[in-house]
Amino acid sequence: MKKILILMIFSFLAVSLMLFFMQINSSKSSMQSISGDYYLTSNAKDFNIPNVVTSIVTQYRGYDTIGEITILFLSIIGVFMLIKTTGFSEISKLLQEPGTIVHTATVILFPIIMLFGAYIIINGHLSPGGGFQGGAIIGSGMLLLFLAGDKKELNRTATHIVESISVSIILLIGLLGIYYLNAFFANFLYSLGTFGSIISGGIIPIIYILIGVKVTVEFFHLSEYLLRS
Amino acid sequence: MALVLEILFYLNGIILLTGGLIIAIISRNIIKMIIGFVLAHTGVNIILVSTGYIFNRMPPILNKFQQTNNPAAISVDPVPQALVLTSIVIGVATTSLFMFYALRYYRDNGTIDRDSMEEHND
Repeated sequence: MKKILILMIFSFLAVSLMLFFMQINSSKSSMQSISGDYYLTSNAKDFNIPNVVTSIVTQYRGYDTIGEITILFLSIIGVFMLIKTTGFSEISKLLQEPGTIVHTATVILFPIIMLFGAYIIINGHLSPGGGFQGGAIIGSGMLLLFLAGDKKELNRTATHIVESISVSIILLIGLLGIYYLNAFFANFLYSLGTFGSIISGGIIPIIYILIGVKVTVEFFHLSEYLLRS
Repeated sequence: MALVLEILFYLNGIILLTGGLIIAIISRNIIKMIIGFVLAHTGVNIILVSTGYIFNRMPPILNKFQQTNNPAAISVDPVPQALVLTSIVIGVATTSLFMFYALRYYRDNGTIDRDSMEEHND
């Protein structure tokens, strides 16, 4: 009875949502939103990079990104408070000892995954990709090391320091924007490089590389804590 | 064609959203509840991206010529894509926190069943 009631309520919700979005869709036809129109037309003269989504994420809506990495940081702090780590235990014992295939494949695949992730991060302002995506790739690739049975203790102080320093430098770059151009996250290196080359877009690739480092360490910590909890 | 595609996108997202919420409410296992929330989150992301989609347009990665000659007429809306990028990362963070809560609860009480959870809390 209870389940039927829940199903009815949610099917009503689904139908009303569908009608709502069809209403929006028929009124919008084929128009950009006002902000989307502005970002697309002013991107060329503001930042001079091909990928408009990157310039929105790191520059036009830089505050959003600061909030986002703060949320990542907060979730990691919550994880630290929830679980005490005492060396490798239960969960890692449940994993089977890796066979020859996993071990050999890790040796071959791990450098390729690292390279691909670095490529995604560095080309974030030229092609689809960026710090978050590349960081997720590298951080998940590091899980392969654990699966291949490399269970030696890691220097956790070093990873924490790397994470903190990358966030601090992002904030420092934002403050330098205030010093040079009177706006937080202002692009004070704008004139660097030509359109479409790696060194272009001023501070955008620098911010994205630092975000990539932070996300990598974050993902790495998550998988490591799950295995060591 | 364009209308059919957009209806399909919205339908896909709404089915995932409501189905995920139903799973999150009626299932007894905490892990299944987490899976339900992840599905609902994916549904929200699909709906958000669909609102910015315009039929027969390019992705918002444009060369110099395209960017200086009325780019708003040839590209899809980039704003929802940037918002969804933020949303996906936050989804990963919250999901990991969910999972660690479930792990901690299992450590303390030896169960991840919702119904026996109420007995423990009394």
